[in-house]
Amino acid sequence: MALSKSNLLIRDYENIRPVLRDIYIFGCFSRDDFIRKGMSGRKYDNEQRRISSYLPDKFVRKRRVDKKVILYCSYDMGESARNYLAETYRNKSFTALDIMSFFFIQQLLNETEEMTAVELLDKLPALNHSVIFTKDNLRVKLDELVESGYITSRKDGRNVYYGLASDIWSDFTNEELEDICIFLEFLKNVSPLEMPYYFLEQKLHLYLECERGIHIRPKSTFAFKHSHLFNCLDNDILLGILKGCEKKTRMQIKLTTQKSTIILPIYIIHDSTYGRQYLYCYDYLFEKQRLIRIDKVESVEMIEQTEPEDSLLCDDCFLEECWCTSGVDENLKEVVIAFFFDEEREDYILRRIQREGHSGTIEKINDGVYEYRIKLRDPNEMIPWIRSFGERAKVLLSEECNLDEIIAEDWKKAVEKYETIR
Amino acid sequence: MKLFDETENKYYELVARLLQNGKSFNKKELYRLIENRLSGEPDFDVTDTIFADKEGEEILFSHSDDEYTPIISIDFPIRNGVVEQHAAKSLLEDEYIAHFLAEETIRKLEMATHHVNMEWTVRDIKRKNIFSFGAKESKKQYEYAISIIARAIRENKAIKYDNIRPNVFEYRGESVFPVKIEFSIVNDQFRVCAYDKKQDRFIKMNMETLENITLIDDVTNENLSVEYEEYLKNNTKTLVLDVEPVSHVIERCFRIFSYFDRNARYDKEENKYRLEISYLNADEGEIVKDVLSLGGYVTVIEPKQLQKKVYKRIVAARDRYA
Repeated sequence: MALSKSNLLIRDYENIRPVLRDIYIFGCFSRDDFIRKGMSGRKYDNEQRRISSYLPDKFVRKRRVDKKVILYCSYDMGESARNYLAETYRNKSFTALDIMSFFFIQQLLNETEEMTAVELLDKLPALNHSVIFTKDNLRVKLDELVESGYITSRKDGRNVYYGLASDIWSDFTNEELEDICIFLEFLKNVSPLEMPYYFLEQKLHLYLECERGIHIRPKSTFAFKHSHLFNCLDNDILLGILKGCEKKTRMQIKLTTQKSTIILPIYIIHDSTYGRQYLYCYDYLFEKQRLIRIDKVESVEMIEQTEPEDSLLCDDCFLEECWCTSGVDENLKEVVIAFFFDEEREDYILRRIQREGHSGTIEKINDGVYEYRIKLRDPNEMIPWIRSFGERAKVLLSEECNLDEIIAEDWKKAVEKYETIR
Repeated sequence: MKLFDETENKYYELVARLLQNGKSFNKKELYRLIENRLSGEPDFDVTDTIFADKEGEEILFSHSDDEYTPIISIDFPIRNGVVEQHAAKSLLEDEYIAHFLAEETIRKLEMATHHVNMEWTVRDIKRKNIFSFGAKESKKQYEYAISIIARAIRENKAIKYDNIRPNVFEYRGESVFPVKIEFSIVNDQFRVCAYDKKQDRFIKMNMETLENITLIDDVTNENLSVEYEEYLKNNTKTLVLDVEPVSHVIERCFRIFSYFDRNARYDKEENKYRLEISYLNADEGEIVKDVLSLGGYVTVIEPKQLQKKVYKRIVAARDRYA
């Protein structure tokens, strides 16, 4: 079968994930750079060829820099809100038996409400000389379809009856389904777990077209600022971890940077500024709570239920006491910052502090001077935020951290740099 | 249940379309469908297998006289897999649901997904650094307004609205043709980009101040989305940044600007990265904020006017600590 010869279908998503991430986020590395990072030249050639074939030309592009070809992605939020990276998930490899059983079984069950495996086997076409349905392979395929939710099974005595999954959209009006599509268009870009919403939106469009005769025009309704499309590349890992969180099971987790470890997943922290995702967990190997970057995880597997005392292994206050993710083992330290602004013309600065300043307190000291206080595990994490206010912010106190010195030094260095180029 | 699963393969969707109404199709129609409906490059190893035309090699369609016909002439039913069923149920716990769906739709969704046993919840994802007092915290005033505006965009229709910020402005019964809904994930704010016929220009309004939004029958024949794209192009500038090759800085810098149209290169001789970003004039304040947040690791090269502005601010910042 030519399906097994296909170079474009993907068996394991991990094969394209790291290359695609670098191409999208950085877009400035050549084949040689990837080889320097440890990837074989042959693997790079294969994966870049696949990536170029999955994605449209207007999104994935090539340019030549110093005689080297650079692959990069072009995304313009004003032009389209389409997440092309998500489309790479629609290239999973399959066999002829997979596709034939998926369609034939559901077609047959669409006509007859319930059927046993024997009845189905009797009605399955036998035109293909290489793919022959047998009792055994049909049972495997039926089990897979039940597990993936497309069909249901019911045991009655010694017989197992199979039926189609219910049509969950049958009671909705066309207008209601269109509203759900709009909601999904939003969530597939905004949720830290985009792919389930992307798949559901695709399926709902197909449903509207096939079952209701409505074709949704591909018109981009939204423009998303601060969206980090590349997060979808880790969605299969993220979903695996979320299932572990829900079931409260121990998980075996394989990282790109170390051998496997056993963890208890607690929750995921999604940093909206930089689009980084972290797993907050207890590591049984290191016997401590820790944070693991999701993009450094290669695979996850649920292994066993936790013991009741495991629930005491992690710290409830961590999330509220960190600016983002840092300081898991640290104590609270106080930071005091003075903000200076013209209260009449720059009142938006006060609004910014109120909206962005987490749970810090703000107190007016003088006209145009406000004092902001917060206690954090690792105040170093808030340096970029303090710097974003430029001259309007000055650190007055930072216990054990010397934020004032770090920032003052940084501004000095920045001024020097500008003075050399001006 | 896997996320990366063959049942979500794009060829499965193509086949599902072709298995409706027992209709036949020829090669030309098939290729047209592949071109229009499949994203990316077609994989002939796959299409030649699914649409085999030799006897004994048929998969789902039989072939004779240049006509493909479904082997089973029963319509293929469109059903949702577990991942999609979970996604449908998880809509109910989403913080934005009331911005998009009417109460009756939410009630139906609850009923339709009642039987779905969730294996995950988005509540286990804690989002950090989303600003307070945004759209999530003001559900009541939205009342599925986003869907109304989205419908206006799709149908080229106008909306009627009141735009009121107490003690600042008050516009009642205004109408515009919306072209885009802009959403900032970090600011947690919706803004409507629209064409105002009276003023003959594009305007941007904060959803927070809009009330009583209704869809009206005014339809525009002008291609507003093309005009809007042109408007954006005419109001776009290019920011050129030099970035120090410090790994955590590079990563933060490239990630923070990843939603802009951009171009990057690494200059080995100078040992620095150069990042070019296209940004809208209206977003300049935000660009300055982001550049300042990266401190002395990045330097604005172009535009000169912005370079000057940033330089002045960092000199003032340095002096603040002197």
